[in-house]
Amino acid sequence: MDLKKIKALVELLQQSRLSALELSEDGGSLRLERHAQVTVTRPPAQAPGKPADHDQVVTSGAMLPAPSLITPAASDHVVKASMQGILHLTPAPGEPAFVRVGDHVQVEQVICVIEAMKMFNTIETEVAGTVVEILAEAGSEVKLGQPLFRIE
Amino acid sequence: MLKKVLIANRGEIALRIQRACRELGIETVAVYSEADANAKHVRQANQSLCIGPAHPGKSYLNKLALLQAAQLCGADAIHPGYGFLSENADFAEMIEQAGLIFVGPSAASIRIMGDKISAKRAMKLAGVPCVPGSEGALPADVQLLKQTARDITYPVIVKAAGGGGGKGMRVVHAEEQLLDAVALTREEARRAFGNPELYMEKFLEHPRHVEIQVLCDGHGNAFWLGARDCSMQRRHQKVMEEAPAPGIDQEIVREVGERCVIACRQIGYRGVGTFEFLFEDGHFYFIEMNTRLQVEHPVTELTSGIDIVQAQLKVAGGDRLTLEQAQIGCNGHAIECRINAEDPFSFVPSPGIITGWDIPGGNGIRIDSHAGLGYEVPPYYDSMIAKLIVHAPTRGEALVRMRGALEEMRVDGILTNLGLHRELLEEPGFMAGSVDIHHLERWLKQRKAP
Repeated sequence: MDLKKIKALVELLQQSRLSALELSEDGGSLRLERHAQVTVTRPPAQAPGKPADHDQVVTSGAMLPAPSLITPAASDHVVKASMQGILHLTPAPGEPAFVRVGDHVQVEQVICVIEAMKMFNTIETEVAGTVVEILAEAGSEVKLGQPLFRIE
Repeated sequence: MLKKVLIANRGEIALRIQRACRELGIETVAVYSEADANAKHVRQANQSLCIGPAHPGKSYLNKLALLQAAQLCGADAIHPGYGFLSENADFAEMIEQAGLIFVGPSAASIRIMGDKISAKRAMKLAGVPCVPGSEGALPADVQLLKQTARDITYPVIVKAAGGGGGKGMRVVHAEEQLLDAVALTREEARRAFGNPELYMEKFLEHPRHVEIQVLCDGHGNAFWLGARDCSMQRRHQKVMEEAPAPGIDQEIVREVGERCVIACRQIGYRGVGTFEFLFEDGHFYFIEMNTRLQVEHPVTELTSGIDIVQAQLKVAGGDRLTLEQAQIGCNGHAIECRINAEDPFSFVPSPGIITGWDIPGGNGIRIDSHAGLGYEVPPYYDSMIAKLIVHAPTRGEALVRMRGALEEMRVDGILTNLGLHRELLEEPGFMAGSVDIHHLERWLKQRKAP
């Protein structure tokens, strides 16, 4: 299972209402869990007893949270797209970005703009903290609920 | 007659033009952006060509790509639709110089009307009534400027010569605000339109927006097809339109219509066009001319019985109009609701996939739309997904018909302003008719949130 696929699964989980997603294929398995707004990934566990001969996705909303090998940073916050549209990370072409990785942001600070149907809608953070990751590309089309920024 | 027309537009108007072409036996070329690859008019065109990425600047506004697409496909004409390049004189000129036909007026006509000062001058020469205002561009001299405003009498409105459609204007209520307002508007005009020239007009407090549709063949035959009332606006965007304009004496409308026709002959206008007026206390005041087909053209098609897009294509191909003004009547009453993909309360756009689509039908109901079940409303363009138009013998019956049609219509998966239209069709002010251009915004302010 390559990183690209795992990344795609993380996105799938984030866009869904599922709290956990488990996949077994070709002797490997992966389990993704969601705690509030944070997605936790756990390294592939041991191969299950019976090897699956095709992709098998096990999902359950009532699954007990498994003990994580990676402890999520409790203060992690993911800013998601509040609407579908085109993501702009700068106020205007050629101008400096609203925020960069490593920047400290205040509550209600404008961190990006989503353009839809000739209207420009500013997106503000709900939390203060440090921008640790920008999760979408400038100029790309983002879907409702798509993660845009990770703030610690 | 034209043989093959390239449609340089998208959405419902591309489909509307394609239908008109089909009935006239004209082949169509659809050009589309990557976001519109699955559009209905693309599937139904004789030829189709992708001209660039979703962003309009790289596709529908790319003049050279459009011209080259037309040449590559052997089209003899380009129809610009509305919006995009439809009022771009340079584009019209480029097409003319390449030996193709621009379905619209000459580049020279577009230029005259694009500059609001020269447009007003042309209208005055033809005896079209204008809003009292400055003679030409505003002077730089402070004393002259103050005198101009005093002569017009406050409140006045300062407007950019290169503006239009509600952009680049500022209302001034007293002399102490005048200089600041002029300076600010001039800077905005310089930035937005590349032309710092301004003019000044008397600010009308409670006008209606009433417009006259014209049709000319470039051989000296010009006609006016009727009046439309488009006063139901939000932020200068029309929400609903109707024909005829309710409660205005037929004789006043006929007089102004005839003046528009004279103006068209004087400037050698060809094609379809719209003279926009403010109407207050029984008087018409010219504000601007749109030198293209308009979104709301169907209401006039229904009341006049003339297919405006077909007529436009015919005159572009060199045909002479054989109409008689006396034969162009106004039959019944038509209303159009613009159905937009937006939140009916916050007006935030709502792109996305349409998962449910149920449209009304029956006598006197017309829907112009490119959308349907499974259609994805892209975030790159205008939010209009359909025009719902009704026609009935009287305004009262048209209101009843529209109410029923709105009840029948259902769109799922995205938010639409259907709910807003349903409320407006019950709103006493609109139902009575003759509301002013501020009516909708006033009503929205006091409307209760859900």
